[in-house]
Amino acid sequence: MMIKRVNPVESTWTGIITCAEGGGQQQARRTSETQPEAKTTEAENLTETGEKLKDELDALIDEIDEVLEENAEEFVKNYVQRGGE
Amino acid sequence: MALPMIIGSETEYGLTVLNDPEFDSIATALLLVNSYNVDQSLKLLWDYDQEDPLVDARGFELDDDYDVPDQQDNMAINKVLPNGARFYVDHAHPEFSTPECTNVLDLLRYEKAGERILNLSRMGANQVLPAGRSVLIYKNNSDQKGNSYGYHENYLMDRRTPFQNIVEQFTGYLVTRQIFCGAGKVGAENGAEYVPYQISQRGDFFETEIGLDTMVKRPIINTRDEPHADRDRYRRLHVIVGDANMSEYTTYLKVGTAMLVLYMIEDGFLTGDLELRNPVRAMQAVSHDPTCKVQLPLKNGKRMTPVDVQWLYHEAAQRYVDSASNLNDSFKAIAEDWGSVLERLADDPMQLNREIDWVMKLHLLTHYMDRRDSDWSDPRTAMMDLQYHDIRPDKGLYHVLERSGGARRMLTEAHIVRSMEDPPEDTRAYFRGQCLKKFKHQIFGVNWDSISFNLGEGPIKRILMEEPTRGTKRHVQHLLDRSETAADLVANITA
Repeated sequence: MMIKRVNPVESTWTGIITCAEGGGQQQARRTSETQPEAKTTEAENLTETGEKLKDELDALIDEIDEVLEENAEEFVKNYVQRGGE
Repeated sequence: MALPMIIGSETEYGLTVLNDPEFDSIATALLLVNSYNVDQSLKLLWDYDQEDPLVDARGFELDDDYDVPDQQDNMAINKVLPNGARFYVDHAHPEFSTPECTNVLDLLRYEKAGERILNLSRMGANQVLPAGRSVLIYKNNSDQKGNSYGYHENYLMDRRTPFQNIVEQFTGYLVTRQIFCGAGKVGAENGAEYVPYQISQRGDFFETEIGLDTMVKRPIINTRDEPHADRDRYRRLHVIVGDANMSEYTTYLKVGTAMLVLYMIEDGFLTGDLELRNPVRAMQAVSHDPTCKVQLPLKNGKRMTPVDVQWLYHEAAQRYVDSASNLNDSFKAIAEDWGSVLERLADDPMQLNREIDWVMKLHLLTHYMDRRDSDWSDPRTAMMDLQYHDIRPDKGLYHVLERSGGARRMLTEAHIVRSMEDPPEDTRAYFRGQCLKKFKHQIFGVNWDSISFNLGEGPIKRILMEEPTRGTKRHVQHLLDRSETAADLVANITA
């Protein structure tokens, strides 16, 4: 999942966002880290894992919506810290 | 090398009160520090007598006024906890210093204990606030308004190591380690060029290579020379460039690799050119490039990516752990983890979306923006940037990730809970913690390197603890066991 670059120094931000969608293969590592891989065909594996991860991600985004501070704009505007080392 | 290397960290937490239009940070920080469930009848002082924050490692002492609070303020501002930690108000922030540790996993568990302690204080403080108001606390380093607050690491080194070697050999490591240590941030600050997202919270705030100040014109190498230990033997390197991290694995790698590099510097093991031509500019350039491929000019004329600069350090570290006879085995694992992370950073940093804070945060943000059809300028994005660091276990976004199995762990729950109560057993923090548990009402004052008792008659008795590797359980348990009172303790020590 390469992040596209316009030139050696800058990166394109749309690149980062669109890349995130194709995360199936990277994220497969997540769930299989501590468990031995089941013996299914590779195609089945990817679809199943892909679906599962898509659901997990959706659930995560839903949870973020539940806990995220309401009135984000005002909250962020009012968050000021002075006198820090 | 000074064995073992004593380490510790200090975290200044961000603070606000919901629904309080006249929010006073100092008053709130004070309330917080006094709301932790430690014996509030305990009246002890932080002993400022031996503090020397104006001494500079380059060999001079700043002639300036250094404010010391009066006794009453002192008692309100400073709490020393039975696990050996210090919980206090620093300017306008609540700050938590871990006790002295000998290894990175201990430092990690005490930092995590600190988060829990801050959270309990938060809950305690909320009970006395007017209805509808609540304290919110963030383990981060930036308010998005141009203000930064620190996360400081401390590494006790052999004083014979020339300070110049540290400046020359550690700077390049610090500038480039952001690629696996940064906590991520939306936007840019402090006059830096705009980016939608950058790797570190602190990167924009560093303006000089070397200096004494920690609040303005921040230096990459801080020259504060206040060892809180035998100054003939030790130098405490005070590192102020780091981000506070939520991810356990990130903290582990940050501190573990720093220790390894400093060991190598002490042993004169680093050869070759590691110096960057312009470290301050490089600091920003590294942070502003989440692909980790920006070319950094070195003093020797070459140009390297931050990953390649880290590979130079790693290559030396690999040889070092294979050859050093008296180095703990845990450093072999640290070197291996370091290499594995560098490989993934070189290939595609987004692979580290369970291990490295800035990647984890970016992963969350980009998926959210994608699913909710939002973008970098949406206020929710900035809110998530902040809320990632919210220490509430039910609301902090890091914690949401951790709960769903999205964060690689190094600690167990038992580790963390135990660290809230008990000091490390292998440094002088043990003696401090045990004295606080056993003789708390006779303690007059505490500092890192001393503890003073008021025995009721005669002058205050100050016990010096200049050697951080003494005062361990092995050294003092017998003494503690046969001292029922503080008077016994002092008598037994002076006998």
